This record gives sequence, C-alpha cells and structure tokens, in this order.
Amino acid sequence: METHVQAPVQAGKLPEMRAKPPEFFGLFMRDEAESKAAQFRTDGLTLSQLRDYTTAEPLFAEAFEMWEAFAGIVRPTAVVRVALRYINRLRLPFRPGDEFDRFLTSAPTMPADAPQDVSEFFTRVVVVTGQEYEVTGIITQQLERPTEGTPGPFILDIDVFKAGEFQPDRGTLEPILRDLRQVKNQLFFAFLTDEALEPYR
Amino acid sequence: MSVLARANPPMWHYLPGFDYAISETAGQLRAFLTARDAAGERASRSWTARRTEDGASALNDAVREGLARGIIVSEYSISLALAVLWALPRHVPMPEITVEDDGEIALDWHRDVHSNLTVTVKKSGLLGYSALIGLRPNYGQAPFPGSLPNEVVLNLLRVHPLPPARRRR
Repeated sequence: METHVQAPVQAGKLPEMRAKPPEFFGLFMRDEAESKAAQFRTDGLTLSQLRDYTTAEPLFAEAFEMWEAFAGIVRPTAVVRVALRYINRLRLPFRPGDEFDRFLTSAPTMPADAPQDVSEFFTRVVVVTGQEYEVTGIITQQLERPTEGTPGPFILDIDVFKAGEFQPDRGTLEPILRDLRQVKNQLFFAFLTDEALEPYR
Repeated sequence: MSVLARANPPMWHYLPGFDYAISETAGQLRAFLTARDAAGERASRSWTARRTEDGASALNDAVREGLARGIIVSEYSISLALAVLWALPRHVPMPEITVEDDGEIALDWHRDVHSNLTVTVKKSGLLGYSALIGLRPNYGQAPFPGSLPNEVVLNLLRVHPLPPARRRR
C-alpha cells in the first residue's frame, strides 16, 4: 500500500494540503529465517532467495507453487517477461600483484603503456543468444573498492530474460525458465576460472 | 566477440522499474547504475544521450505540471515512459507529454487533423495506444517488456513514415 500527502506551494499563498487515497501495489513477504522474499505485485511475481541458496530445483518448485496461486487469483491473459537473475558476491582470494585472469576470464584490460595496477572496476555487457536471439543476458562485473589492503569483494551479476507473450501456465513457463537457467549456468562458468570455482564445487 | 546490430527495436539497458532484486548487493548495484546513467547522460553528447536528456526534461516538466494539479505519478511509470521515449525510432519527433488525471503518462503525436497517435504508459506496465489515421482508428493495449511493441511501432510509422533514403551520387 502506498499513500501520498503533498502540498503544492505557490508564491504568496498558503500551501494547499492534498492527500491521495492509499493505492494497492502488492504484497511483500519474507520467510521467518529471512532467507527468501516474495513480491506479489500488480504487474507480476518475483521470488528472491537472499541466502542459503543450494540449487535451483527447490527454488523453481516454490516459485511455480506461488505462481499458480497468484495466477489463480489474478488470471493473467499472458506473461510478457520471464527472468532469472543471480547476483553472486564472491570473495576471491586475490593477492596484491595477481593478474585478474587467475580468477576471472573476462576482466577489463588496460593498454600496455598505461598503469596496470587496478583497484576497482565495473563492466556491463549485454548479450543476446538463442536461435532467434530471443534470450538476453546482462552480465555485470564489479570489483569493489579494496578495504584495509585486501581486494574488495567481486560481484558477478547475471540477469537473463526472455520477453514476448507467453501462456501463463506452468507447462509453457517452466521450459522457458529452464532454458534461462542453462544460459545463466553457461555464463557463470564461462566468467570464472576453475580456481575461482574451486570453493563452490 | 563481435558487435551485433540488432534489427529489433533497441532495449533500454537498465530499467530501474524492472529491477526487483532486494538484496543489499542488489541495492548497491542499483544505486551505482542509476548514478552512472545520470552521469553518463550528462557527460556524453551523443544523439541517444541528447534524446534521453530532452525526453527526461519534457517528462519532468509534465510530472511537475501534474503535481501542481495534485496528480502524483509513480516512479515506475516515469521510468517506463523514459524507456519508451528512448526506444522511439530515430526519425520520430519527441511527443507532447502530459500527465492524465489518473496519473498515467500520455505521449501525443499530432501530425495533422487526420493523423494522430496517443500512447499511454499505464501503471500496470502496459502501453495503451490510440491512433486515428485518416478514417482508420486503431487502438488497444500491448505489453512493454523494454522494447516497443509492434502495434505501437506500426502506428508510429503510419503517423511518421520513414523518410525516403538519400540518393547516392
């Protein structure tokens, strides 16, 4: 719910107070452990796993359970966007002087004649894939500012989505989500070296 | 790795309205991307940046004018309207922007009495369109997942046809 109170001000006049009646935007829910959150909005549904992630299967199962309950009430005529986003915050044990390619396969490069000591970076790449370029992937990499002489955390944000007009039933949406997961996995494993992945195997 | 020029309408590369992530890290990224976009627009003088700046300025004026009438527009609608403006075909002029009484944002192209199009950015994320070209009305709603729906593009092209290609000498 959201409500607004405002007072347009005009020179030489007292402000006139106006309040808008509360509007319904949706429901936001968290589980007791605060590891998951669901947003049932007027324009869609998002389920987030904030920590304790294991595999996609239980998350997908829960997402579809919620979707079926949501769609049963809202009765959408079509789904226009299906998205899967993994924001990975990794502590990569870089030592001062390490090359980025020890852990990262696609870090930015500096021209040979420029200083080579990089303390932070941010890159964002948009790729399209699929037979008719129907899946878009946005890959954001950020090496955060170092703290106390140690390199900052590395964020690998992989956002893959497919836009179109899809039937709102599970039979249509589940294969799309599985395709997106495949693209996400391909990107995740492509952007990190074996050494970086070692602690996560 | 190669550059791909997509034939599809361009997609706004970061739409805060479509960013539903809620973790702390997601919040930091969002703040960073929003600030970076604003800085990039100020620093760059590319055609796209100018179009975005003009669109944002016209949109701000319309929202401010709406506020003066006591109408509040949601941030989500503003973000979507800006994305719509950015995704317009290059030859299409900037529309007249107004905020309607229910808080929806209307983009109007009025070429002459026989050729009009209104696209409405709805709170649901849908685009409403209503065109009158000659004696042929066409209206409906279409989803906006980040690029312009075909129905809107076709109506835009009916109001503002593509200019003829320049002849090469």
